[in-house]
Amino acid sequence: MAELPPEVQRLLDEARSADDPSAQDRERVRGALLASLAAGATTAAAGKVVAGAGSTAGGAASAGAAQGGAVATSAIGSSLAIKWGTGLLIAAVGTTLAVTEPWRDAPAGSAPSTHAVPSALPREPVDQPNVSEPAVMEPVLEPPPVQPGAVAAAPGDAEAAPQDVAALPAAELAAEPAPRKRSAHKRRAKRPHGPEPAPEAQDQPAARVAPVGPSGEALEQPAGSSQELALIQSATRALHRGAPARALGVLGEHARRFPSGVLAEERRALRVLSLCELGRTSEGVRERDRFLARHPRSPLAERVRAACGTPTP
Amino acid sequence: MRGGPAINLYEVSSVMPRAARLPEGESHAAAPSGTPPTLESLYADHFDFVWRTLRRLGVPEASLDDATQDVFIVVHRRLSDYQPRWSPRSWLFAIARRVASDHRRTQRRKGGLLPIKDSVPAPAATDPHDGALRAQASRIVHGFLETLDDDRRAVFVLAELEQMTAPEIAEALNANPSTVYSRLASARKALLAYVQTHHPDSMEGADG
Repeated sequence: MAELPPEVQRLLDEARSADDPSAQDRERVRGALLASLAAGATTAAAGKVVAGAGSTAGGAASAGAAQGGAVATSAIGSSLAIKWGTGLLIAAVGTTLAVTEPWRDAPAGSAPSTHAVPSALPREPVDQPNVSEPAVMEPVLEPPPVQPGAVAAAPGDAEAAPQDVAALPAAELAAEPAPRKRSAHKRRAKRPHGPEPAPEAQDQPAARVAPVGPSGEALEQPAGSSQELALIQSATRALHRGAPARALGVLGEHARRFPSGVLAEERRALRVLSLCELGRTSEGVRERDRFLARHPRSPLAERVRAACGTPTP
Repeated sequence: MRGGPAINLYEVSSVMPRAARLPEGESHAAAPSGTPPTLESLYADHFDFVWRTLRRLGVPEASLDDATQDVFIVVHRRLSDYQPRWSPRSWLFAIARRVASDHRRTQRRKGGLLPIKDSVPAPAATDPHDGALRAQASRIVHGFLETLDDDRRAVFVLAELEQMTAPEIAEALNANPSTVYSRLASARKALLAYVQTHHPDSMEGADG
């Protein structure tokens, strides 16, 4: 095979490192991914994305799916979140809302397709240094215990015929609609499928015995974030157990201590939810609209949008 | 693939790499035999690879975050399918390739690909001169990648930019190693022609 002349080789050498992500890229995507997994896990598991319509975003789908959705969300969210710093609270927000605010109907077809994906990650809480309480595992949301090697069953699982997913072609594997948490207008319509060998398998969740292994390495948590995280967690828990006033207090403290913290977006979202929960609707609506204007692409936007009961377009 | 004539992903008839070997390098550390990788470990070890791959497969800058997320969401969902004998990078590449094609198609629907100069940001560098060189090189290479068909592009990215071995590439693409070699040879020839035509200045002093 023809070798490249040295000049061209140098060109490639130069270009090679130019495509690397920055540390910010890594963190940003990690946060978004966690939010997606925590909040949109049920949609992801079902392999179904709502077609097009703005009001049928994954957030609504998972929330509307009520208990099953909550369990699935919690199972996935918490297992990840235990290790992934900020994901902890996002998962908590997701589960809180999934249970307490089934505010809108799930789009047809999405609710019954809520499956728990057996996470390959151990979901037992692990010690988290610097975080006062281990976490988001609220009794009411506690997913069924997942033993290593056990199947995490959700209501929809019964319809999931066992299949050898390993045999699915690559094209199909990656073709499943991406369940990214997004504002509704960004959500993509379900794509038409081509002549794939087993198109019906598209909608099958990855429901099977999960090869749960020993704990992997946790991603390092950004230094200094633990106190900030603890505050947001505390607020989440307060909201969760029906103490939105307490949540607001904690959020206020977060605002004072970490006005521009990495979790400021979560703080604002939780504040909206707390206000609405408290019945301070006009304030809640105002803050909600501000949040949506400020974070239109937030993974939490769907949940915030539905707060206070009068969704904005 | 599903009406997208430019992309022949059906050649990747299985995302599951055919070879049982692990490649050299990061894959070993990421997947010691017997220990299934976790989402965290895959993310920690291969985020950069996924990101670079998506970029090189033509995902516009504005969609990179989303596309990277998509890849890891699929990874999360399919993790239990993963078998330790597979190279993580091969597996991830197969996923990333499909995700990239989806994003590119979406982009085309929205009104075409961004011009290269807009879609490839100047990389940060401490030395402005180095930075300029690298940015220029990057623009040339990305411009070239856009001229390749999907198959050659995948081979070229893995071979010349990721410096993966032919067997590993064959695994990632589920292709025959000889096919990999011939595509690489063809892509190299195309690169040479591209540089000579579009950027002759960067060929100064070259024999060819």
